Order: sequence, then structure tokens, then C-alpha cells
Amino acid sequence: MNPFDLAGPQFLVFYVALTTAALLVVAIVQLREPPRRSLPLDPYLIAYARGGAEEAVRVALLSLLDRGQLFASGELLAVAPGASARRPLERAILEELAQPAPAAGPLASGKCRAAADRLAAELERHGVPPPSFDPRRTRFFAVAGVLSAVAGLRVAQALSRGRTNLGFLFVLWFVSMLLAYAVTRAGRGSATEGIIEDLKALLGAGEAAAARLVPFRTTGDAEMLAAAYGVGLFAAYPYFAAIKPPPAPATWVATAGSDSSSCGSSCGSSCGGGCGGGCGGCGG
Amino acid sequence: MDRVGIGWRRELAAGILGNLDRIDVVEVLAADYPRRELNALRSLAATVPVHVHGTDLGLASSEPADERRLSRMARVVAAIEPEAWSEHLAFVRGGGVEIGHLAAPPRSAASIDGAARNLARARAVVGCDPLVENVATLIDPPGSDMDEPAFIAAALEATGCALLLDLHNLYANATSFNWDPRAMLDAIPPARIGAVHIGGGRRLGARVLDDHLHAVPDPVYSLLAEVAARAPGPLTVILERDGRYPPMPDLLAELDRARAALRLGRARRAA
Repeated sequence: MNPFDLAGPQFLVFYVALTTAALLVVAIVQLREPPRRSLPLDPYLIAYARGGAEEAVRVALLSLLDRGQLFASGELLAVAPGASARRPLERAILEELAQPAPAAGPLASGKCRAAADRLAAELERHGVPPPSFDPRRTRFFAVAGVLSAVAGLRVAQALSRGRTNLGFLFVLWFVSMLLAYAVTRAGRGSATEGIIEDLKALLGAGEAAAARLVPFRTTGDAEMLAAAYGVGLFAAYPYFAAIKPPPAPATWVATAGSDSSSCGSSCGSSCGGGCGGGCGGCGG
Repeated sequence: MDRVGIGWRRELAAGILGNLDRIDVVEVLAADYPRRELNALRSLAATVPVHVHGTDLGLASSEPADERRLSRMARVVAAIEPEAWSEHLAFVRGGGVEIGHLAAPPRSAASIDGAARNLARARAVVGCDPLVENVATLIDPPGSDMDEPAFIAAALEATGCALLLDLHNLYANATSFNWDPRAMLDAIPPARIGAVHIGGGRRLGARVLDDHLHAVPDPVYSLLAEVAARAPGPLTVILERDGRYPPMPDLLAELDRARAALRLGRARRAA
């Protein structure tokens, strides 16, 4: 049976069936996804997974500034006397800033980017694909492509026969696109997005966590928060102007709930609940 | 190798995750976590050894432990796959009334029998034995016919469980009721100490309140050194802090002090 030989109403029924079948296949694929991999809780690795080389460099800049290895004078960054690096990425940044320069220097520097890009190899070693790969997007375009192609061919066929009563088909196509988006969105996003979601669930609301920290007295906590939520959490810190990121463009991933560099929103409910402070004695 | 860690609290999360090179183990409270948070805690357990700590099973009671809470503990343990789980030798309800507090049970044979029954049930539901923890109390439990060291030793004997020895609870009870905390260490076989809690509290007149809101007092570090001098196996020490959180460097300094106390005790043991 060639569906394109069907009369109008029968073709619409076929189109509904095709949409249903395609979405069922997607839903089954999504339900059978293997468990998510975990990633070492390394802030630079997480920053890279979230936002690529530039984000890793930015988090490293924040860490170096807060640890006093760099200092900011206006928008210029300079290496503090006796500064030392803990990681190759930090070493590349300190070398790049041997002469005071704005953050754009290390952010654009080939040496720093190369050091950051080595984190990609580490991500790959842990079986985590590049942050740009989002299986939901792939699935959406696959389903939308098939459904649009079928609808498009039917439209072309109808027009070639001089028929223009295509309103119901357009409506069905539009609804099928909405459904395809909804179903694929319900699936698991990129591996990196899942890892960042886990991390945010552990950390809780980023702003509240950052507000508890004291500039220049943070330990690894500022790095970890910046890795998960972006350095924007530290906008009140004295050196922030020097590392301030540009506004993030809206992307599929960003609109799907994984903010890239802005302060993260609240993320889930209580962790470690029970036995809260000030209860007047835990006895446990 | 002795290990030193800290209780997982949301407020400390960034500090803990950012300092895992100085934190050997993390203790997570058992709660009704949503699925995403359980996933996240499983990721945490893949990164650092995790213990799960219960606070409301009420195992040391002549009443049966609440099945719903036991099932919740089993779910959390199954999801996170911790290295160990623990609960208090306390009761939290009586006659169907929740008291909202970890209360020290009457130190009697009936409480020990109840604890043994409840722990057998807990073992069956969760799949493994918990560590059982001594609790702090501001009142000498009425109906008691033994002292605390004898009660804890008898409970360990009857239940077969290892002890999560809370040194601040021990210090608080010994100070409040004027006995030598080393009597507890004398009463317990050192090999039965599976883990140690340290924490802080405050004075309430002649009593000491275990509120987990203050720094660990010096006598607790001394007791930790004493435990390390006696315990034959590696110890896992967990710092509990439930509020008035200081900056992370201060908590890390407390962990360092615990490590120093352990080293001191181990040196004494070796001498």
C-alpha cells in the first residue's frame, strides 16, 4: 500500500498513525537508555563538560584569583609574586599572564585553550561525549525530519494535482512537531547535562551556597560552584569584573534547563535533611 | 588506614566536594530523597566512600521499628550503595506518639531485647547490619537498671552489631552525670568500634547539650586519641555539624585535628 495513493481523510489517519508509531519508538529508546556514567568531581573537568575550553579557563581564573595566585587591577590580571599552579591549565594561565593582561588574553590564548582541551581527552576517557552532543536534539530532528518529509511530499503531490485543501495536514504536522519536541525533551539530555544536573542536585541553590563563602577564604568550594553554575555566582566578588563572562546566547541546551554561565536557579529539594540546626540538641 | 570525614549537609556541599582531597569519607543522612537527588548521591558514592546515617528508626525500643522507615532506609541503601549504614540506640516513639527526638531508652534488659528484635528486622529489610550509635541525653533514663557503658556493651553483645561511637555524646553524658568517659572505652571491646562520630555542643548548667552547632571540644579529641590507642583496626571518624556553619577552612582544621589525635593515639598504641 502506498500511503500517497490514499484519499485525503485516510492519509490524515495514516499520518496520525505514523506520528504515534514514531513517538512510541522514541519513547521506548529513551526508556531503555543505559545508566548514566559518573564523572570525577574535578571542577575544571566539570566546567569543560558544561561550557568547553573557555569555561574551564574562566573557572581556573576564578580559582587562581581567589587563592591569591593572580590579582586583579581593574580589568587587568597579573601574576602574584611566588604564584604556583596545581594543574597544567593553571600553569598555562600563569605563563600567559606573565605580563598583566585582561582575561581575554588567556581566554583566547592557544596555549591555555590547548591545556583546557586536554580535559576533553579526559572526558572521553570517562566515556562522556563532547558537551555539544545532545541525544534529544538528534532524536527530535530525526523524528521531525521523517514526519516533515512525509507531510512535504503529500503537499507537493496535492499541489501538483491542483489541490489546495491542505489545512488539516498543516495542523497535524504542526501538532506532530509539538509532540515530537515534548517526547524527545522528556528523554535524557547529553551525558554532560546529566552530570551537571547531578552536581547541582548535590550543591543545591548556587546563589545561596555562594553567598555563604567569603572572598579569598574559599577553599575548593568556589571552584566547584563555579564549575557547576558558572562564575556569574561570584558577581559580588572584588575580582569579578576581570573575569566577567559575556551574556550567554540561548541554545537548545540552555532553554532545556542547563544554564551555561548564568547564576543557576534552585535545584531540587533538601539534601541531608532532618536534624537541622538549632533544634536544641540532636542527641545523635 | 584511619579515615576522617564529615557529615553531608547541603550547606557544606560545595566545601565538601571542593575538598575531597582532604575528606576521606562522607556520611549522608537517610531521608525521603527524590529520585534525582538519589542519583546524585549515588554519583557521590562513586567518588568518595559514603556512609548512610539514620535518625528516626527508633531501634532501641520495646516497640517494633516502623516498617515504612525501614523500607525507606532499604531504598536509600540500595540506591546509594554505601560502605556502611548506621542508626542510633534510641527510641523515637512510644505508644504510637512520635517524640521528634532521639531519646535514650531505659538501660534495661527489655530495651536490649527490643533492640535485638528490631535490629534483626532491620538486617532482614535493609540487607546488612547497621552500626549502632550511643546517644546523648540530658536526663538519666528512668527505668534503667544498668549504667551506660554496661548497657552499650550488652546491646552490642546481644545484637552482634558494631558500634558507631559518638565521642561527643559520650563526653556529654559522662560530664552531665559525672562519670569517667573512659569507663565506656573499658567496657566495649575495642574491635567492636566500627566508626566514630565527633561533634560539638554547649553547656546547659551542669549538663552538656549535644547540638552539633559548635566546634569539637578538646576533651573529645583526647577521647579520640584514647580510642585510636585501643582500636586494633582502622577507624573511620566523621565530624557532625548541623548548623551555624563556619567557613570550610575551619571545618577542615577540625578534620586535621582529628587526624592529629588519631596519629597521637596510634603512636601511643605502637609504643
